[in-house]
Amino acid sequence: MTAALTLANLTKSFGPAEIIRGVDLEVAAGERHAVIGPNGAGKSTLFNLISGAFPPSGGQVLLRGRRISGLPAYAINRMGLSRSFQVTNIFQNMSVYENLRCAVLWSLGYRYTFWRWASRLRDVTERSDELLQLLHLEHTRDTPAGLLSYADQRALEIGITIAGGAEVILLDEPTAGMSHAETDRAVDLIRRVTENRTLLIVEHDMGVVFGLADRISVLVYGEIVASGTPEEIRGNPKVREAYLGEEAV
Amino acid sequence: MMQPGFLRSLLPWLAAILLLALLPSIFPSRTAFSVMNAIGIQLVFALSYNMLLGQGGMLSFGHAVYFGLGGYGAMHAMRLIEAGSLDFPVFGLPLIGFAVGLIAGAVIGWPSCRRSGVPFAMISLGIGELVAAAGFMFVSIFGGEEGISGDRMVGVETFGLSLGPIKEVYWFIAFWAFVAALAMWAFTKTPLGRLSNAVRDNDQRAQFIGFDPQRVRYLVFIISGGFAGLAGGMSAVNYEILTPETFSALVSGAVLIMAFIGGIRTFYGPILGAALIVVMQSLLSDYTEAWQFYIGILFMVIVMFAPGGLAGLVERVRLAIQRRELAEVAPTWGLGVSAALAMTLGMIILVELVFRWREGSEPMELLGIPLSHSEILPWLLALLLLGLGSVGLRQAPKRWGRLLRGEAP
Amino acid sequence: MEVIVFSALNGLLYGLLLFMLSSGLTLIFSMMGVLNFAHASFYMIGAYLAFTLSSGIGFWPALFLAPVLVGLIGALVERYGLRRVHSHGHVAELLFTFGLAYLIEEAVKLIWGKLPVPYAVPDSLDWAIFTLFDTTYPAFRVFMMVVATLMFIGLWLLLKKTRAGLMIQAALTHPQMVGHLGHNVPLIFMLVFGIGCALAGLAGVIGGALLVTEPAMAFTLGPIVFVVVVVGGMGSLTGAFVASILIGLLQTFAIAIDASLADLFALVGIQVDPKGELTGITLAQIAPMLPFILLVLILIFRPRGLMGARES
Repeated sequence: MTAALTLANLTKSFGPAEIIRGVDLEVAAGERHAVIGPNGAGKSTLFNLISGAFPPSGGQVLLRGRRISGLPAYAINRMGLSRSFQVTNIFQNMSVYENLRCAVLWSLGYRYTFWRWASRLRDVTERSDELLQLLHLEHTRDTPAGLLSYADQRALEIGITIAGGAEVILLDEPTAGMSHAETDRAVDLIRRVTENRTLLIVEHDMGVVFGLADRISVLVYGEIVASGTPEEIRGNPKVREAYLGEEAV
Repeated sequence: MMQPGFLRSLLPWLAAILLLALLPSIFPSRTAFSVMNAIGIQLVFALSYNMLLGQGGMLSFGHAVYFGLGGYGAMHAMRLIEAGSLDFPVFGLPLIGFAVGLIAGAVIGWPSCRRSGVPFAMISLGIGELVAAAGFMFVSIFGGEEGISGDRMVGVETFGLSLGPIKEVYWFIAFWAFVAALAMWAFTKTPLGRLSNAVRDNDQRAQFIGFDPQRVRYLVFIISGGFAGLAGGMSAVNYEILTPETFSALVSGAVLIMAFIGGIRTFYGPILGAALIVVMQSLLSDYTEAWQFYIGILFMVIVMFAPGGLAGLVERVRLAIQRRELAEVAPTWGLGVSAALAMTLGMIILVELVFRWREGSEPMELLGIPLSHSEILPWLLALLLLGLGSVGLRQAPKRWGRLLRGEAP
Repeated sequence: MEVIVFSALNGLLYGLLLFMLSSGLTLIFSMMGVLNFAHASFYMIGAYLAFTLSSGIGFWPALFLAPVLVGLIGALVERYGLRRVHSHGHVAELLFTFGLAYLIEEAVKLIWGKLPVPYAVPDSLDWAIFTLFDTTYPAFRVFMMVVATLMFIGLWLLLKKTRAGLMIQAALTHPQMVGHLGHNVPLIFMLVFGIGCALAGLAGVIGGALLVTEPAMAFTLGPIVFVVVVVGGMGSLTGAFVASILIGLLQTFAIAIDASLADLFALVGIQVDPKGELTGITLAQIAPMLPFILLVLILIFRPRGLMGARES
């Protein structure tokens, strides 16, 4: 069975600096896969490579067996891969509702339509309302996204990412900067929205990682040093030494 | 199925129709019609410009190109109608302008829209200069320095309008201004309109929801060019002459100033801006030579202190009324407004004094009081007003700042 | 032969004037990422101030005083105006400097009037420095070329050899880092903007005497300066130098050669109407357009410019 996402000998250099040094990874369909690693390991760069923000220097990224590396980001997104951002990356001057509405358009078949009113597109409004409820953001429906509280913005961030119904979802530190309660809510949301989908998540919060992930990979200096189930990772001495040393899990 | 929100949003448009119908009775003079026609043309142009700037986040220094090309298209069509080789009503010429603007936008927009932000602005400047120069070179199309002229009283009459007297031209302008504004407003509510907002706010994220930002920008550019061309067509009929000056950076700069002063963050802002600038141009130029300077100052004040423009201020007041906090903020606002007025008056007096001192012309009269530039008193008065004004503005800084930024208190 | 030599000299002259103007803009852009639309306006202020000052205190004192004054005005503009809009992004900055350019032009009209002012070459430099092919070449022009070259060398040394220069180059690619290194960034911005404007002012003192000093001078020269900076590569001093000379020579030779499209066809043996509208277009006619054609092409195909480092 083809893996949902395959990274084959992926490398990326910026000038003389080699950030990603040959990453091989396979994420099975429906799997929840966490990528952890110390700061500067290249996790965000990895996400950027997979989602098409820039092309790799070498190697390939395959989505359900089809090559996506080198394609522009919007093309990759249309093929069913969506990502969130570590630093909240929403449409700050538009209302929450508008943010979600724009995010559902392509997946419902609407292209650069200018001959119909957006509010008349029943399937669009239905899906947007659905998402609003799912994210518990009904009370902020008409608020400009830039004025939301941090936690609400992060929820919207996730919302925009999953709105299009992508099969493979990349979440980049979704709970960064959240309190315990907010983190719990976020994890609950993530679990709900990624049911039957493939999830690749970068996280620093070990509680979230071990609670959510089916498999974990550890990225250190641009290479994967270990990959396996949470138990395997927890017990791996290399990983402990490189990364988990300070944290008692 | 009509929703209540839809009916409510229709209300301003119905009010607009009423206003357009009543205006000729309120202001029946020739000058008034001339001004109102100019406003009608400029508001369509400014709205088309704001499709790029306010809604799409694209700063263009060369929008006059599409206005001019549309205008020339309409003008040539008008001459063909006059010659009998084209069977098309003059009343419909703005549509020809629209078509020419669309095509021009498509052709020129293709290389332009590959970039955004500052490079886009620079490309638009370069192309504007190119077309402006080409305008003077190709005499058979653009008429050289004298331009091309035509006669609007030819061909088939529509709606019983011969388009001879200026009042009849008013109805023509009012019709097209309304139709164009309505169309552009409707556009903002379409998916593409929304997407252009998204691309403006975050073009990287727009990619990650499946849309090519370049494509969005290009389509918006084309449509915006179309409406600019429509305004050009209106202008061709109204003034019956078009010269290559239409392509100049001055015209491009003027529409930028209009849209920005009016307020680029709301739909109707550019309408306010167009009206204000046209009025200032026609009325103030009789009283002072420095009216362009005042416009410049107004523009700078808005850029620095009220980037939402006049419409932003209006919205802020509306917000206060909605939240029933008018009584609470009124004293601070009152202080701020009077301080601003004092500063404005002081500045005007100072500017006029300087001007008259240099020109050696007769002393000015303010409300019947002569203020001579050769005496020290008026200068002191000006400085005093400026000083008082700035003190007043410093007294209510926080709330004043919030008012102008359109933020919540 | 004579035509070629004088065209080369004049092209060089024009190119160097463009360089003097664009050097300050390059500096400001390198450091602050701001494309100062009003840069040519400071050039204009320099010319007008020099005019007013030189009628009082003579040309040479004005040569030194006027740029300083312009620099001060620039610093004030940065401190009280530009700084406010800095946080709103580059487009907002462009709008600000655009409005500033408009305002300065109107202010100049207000203070000095709409007609050109008689700012001319001073007597001390109004002699023929050499004679070539029976035509004399004015000393003032050579003076200008010397000043421009000195400017280039001076700025180049500043940027490459001093610590301040290294910092400016660093700021080109990593603006935030410079702040993190502990430098007082707002003060530096103010100084850099002021110096950039002072350079424009100096160009104005000389250029105003060479060409006409009138309110439209900023408007005619401004866009070409942008072309220079963009074509040369935003932030590259050498690029600006090369681009200025290139454009100066290009335009001057285009006007001098004055061949038409018909002549071009004739070269390959095709006879077309030399007076026809399209085929009669001469190089001289499109000369003013050449810089902008170059601008558009570069922005589309190589937005980095000839030697630039930062893609805007």
